[in-house]
Amino acid sequence: MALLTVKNLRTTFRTDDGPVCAVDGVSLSVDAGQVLGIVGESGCGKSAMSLSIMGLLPTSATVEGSIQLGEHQLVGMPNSELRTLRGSEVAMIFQDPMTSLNPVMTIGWQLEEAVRLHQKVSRREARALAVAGLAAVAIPSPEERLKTYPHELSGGMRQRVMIAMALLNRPRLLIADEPTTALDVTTQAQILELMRDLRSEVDAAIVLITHDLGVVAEVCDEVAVMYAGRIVERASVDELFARPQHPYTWGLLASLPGRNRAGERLHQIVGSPPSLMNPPAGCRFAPRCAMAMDVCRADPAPALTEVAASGAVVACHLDAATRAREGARFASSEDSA
Amino acid sequence: MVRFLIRRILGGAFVVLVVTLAVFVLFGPVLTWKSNISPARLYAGKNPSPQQIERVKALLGLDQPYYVQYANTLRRLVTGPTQDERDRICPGSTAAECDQLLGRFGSSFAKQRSVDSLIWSRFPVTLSLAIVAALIWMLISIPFGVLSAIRPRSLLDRGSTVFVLVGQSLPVYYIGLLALYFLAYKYGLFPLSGYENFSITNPWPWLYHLLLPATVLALQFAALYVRITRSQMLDTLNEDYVRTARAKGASESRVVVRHALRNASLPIVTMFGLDLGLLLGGAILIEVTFGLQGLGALAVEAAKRLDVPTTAGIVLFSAILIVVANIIVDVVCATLDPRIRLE
Repeated sequence: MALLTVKNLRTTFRTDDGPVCAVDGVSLSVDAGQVLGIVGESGCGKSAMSLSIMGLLPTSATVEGSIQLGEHQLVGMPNSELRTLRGSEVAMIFQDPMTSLNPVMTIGWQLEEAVRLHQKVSRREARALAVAGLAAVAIPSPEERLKTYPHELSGGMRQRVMIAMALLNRPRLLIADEPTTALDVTTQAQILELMRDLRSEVDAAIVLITHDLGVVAEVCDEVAVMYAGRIVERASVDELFARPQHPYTWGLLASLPGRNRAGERLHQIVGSPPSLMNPPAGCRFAPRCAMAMDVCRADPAPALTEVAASGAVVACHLDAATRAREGARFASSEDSA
Repeated sequence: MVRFLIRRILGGAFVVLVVTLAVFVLFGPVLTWKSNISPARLYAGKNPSPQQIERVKALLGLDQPYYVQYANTLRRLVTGPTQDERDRICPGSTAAECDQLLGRFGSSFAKQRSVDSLIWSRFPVTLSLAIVAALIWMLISIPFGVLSAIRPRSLLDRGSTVFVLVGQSLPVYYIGLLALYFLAYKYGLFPLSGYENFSITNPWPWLYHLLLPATVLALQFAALYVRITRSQMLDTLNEDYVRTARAKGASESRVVVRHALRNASLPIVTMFGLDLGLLLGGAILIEVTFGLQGLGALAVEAAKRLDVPTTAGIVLFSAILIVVANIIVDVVCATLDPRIRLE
């Protein structure tokens, strides 16, 4: 059985202008030791989904459906119980390491706090664990780093500290919300490498949220492509890059800067994601889809259906032959572009 | 940290120097030119003869050029009156008697006393009032500000908004007189006026006399501080590191107090230090309303009587207090936030 099983997750925010459904019926599952990538543009519900799993949404949000983490059902769990899971069973790494650490506390204090919130250990033991945690994410002279404040460290170092902090209590599920987006390219590569190394060491399920398919290609086993609060395609990484099925995925793939197209303008998906307050009827991608048909613009929206012989699922009205033909134009033989 | 402190103290000293110059110019030459008031004439009593005025001038060194006078003023402020000045102005009296007449801040001709002794006799009243008021307003505003930030638009938040409006709109002398009439006069819960010295063995009479004026004074500040605490906390609670703390599994109270409040406290500490420094220079309206003989009341008296040295002395004294408060604020902020120590 999968470690994390999300079924029919709906996350709705109450706003002054009416309810906004940021996550609309998402289902997915991750096994221990597996990395699931979730890709999509900004505002397509990736972060709302991860915060739903963490139970960190503001009180204006309601979460429906089912989030099963091991033996725990997280939806409807009282906050006091959820709190004991946060940081121990589920941990999270955030997008911006520059602002994610408390600026007025030392690194050591923050790491030790993470330990002592969940483990009954002495300060000295907590300190030892913190040092080991920093060493595990390849931070040089970890002992001394404990005394430093976040502003004394570079962005890459801070993200390493965040990762170390998330892993301190050996969580079973790690959610990484765009962990490399705020970093420069060299640092990005280092952090990705670190995550790849850690994958094999910690036997945790990892949900990696990103808008960068390049990142997905590097670290993920499976990918779910999200658009406007829904999953439109889910496949193994190899399958997604070899035989992409959904027009939105094609658009994302085409937007990747590739070696072969130097000097050319990058592809762009025309338009922007729809407002989730009044989402379009039918397929939500239809207004931006070059291949949209009449059936796409009418309810009901296409359901996720299995693609023959590949294990992938896609929500699209196009017939399999068209999808295979068009998708081939965007497929890449080498996974990492 | 030591270098930081030294730099701040030097900066503060410079500000005090500038203030002394401004005070000297305003209360010396400018006053003489603009209003034709010469300090020597004021010292010399009613209807003095020109000879008397000249004698006073020589006695006080007012016949010297202005830069010499200023240098003397500065020196007196730093080292106190010299033996030469003592011999000249209070010949034949003991050192203790002379101290009553001469001081670092000059002498009041209206009271025939040194401004120092006047200030030090009044300062405990103002200090007590300020401290008790500060305690009251911080005890009100921090909890209420934090609670309204945690539950914006709740009943408590709306209630505190009303309180802020009332507290800031009603002048202290109005609330003060109402409080005096009802709580002191009609129901006799508090004394009508006066002050008791603080004593460690029995602080109650001291507190009993201060409670009403301090509370009225505190209300106005509390209103402001509830507002600031609330908005600072609202901002801070939206910070990423607060979310990180929650993601670690910290309890809500821990998140609010340990992670958010400390970060939100910087602007509050800054304002608190400056307000307290300002208050220590005298809370005129409250002191007059409640008949407290504090620095503010002294300043009003001195200004009414054209007691120039006393007025100048109080201005300078308050300025020094504010500079000191500033330095303390800087140090406290630097201990609260490591980033400030760097510059």
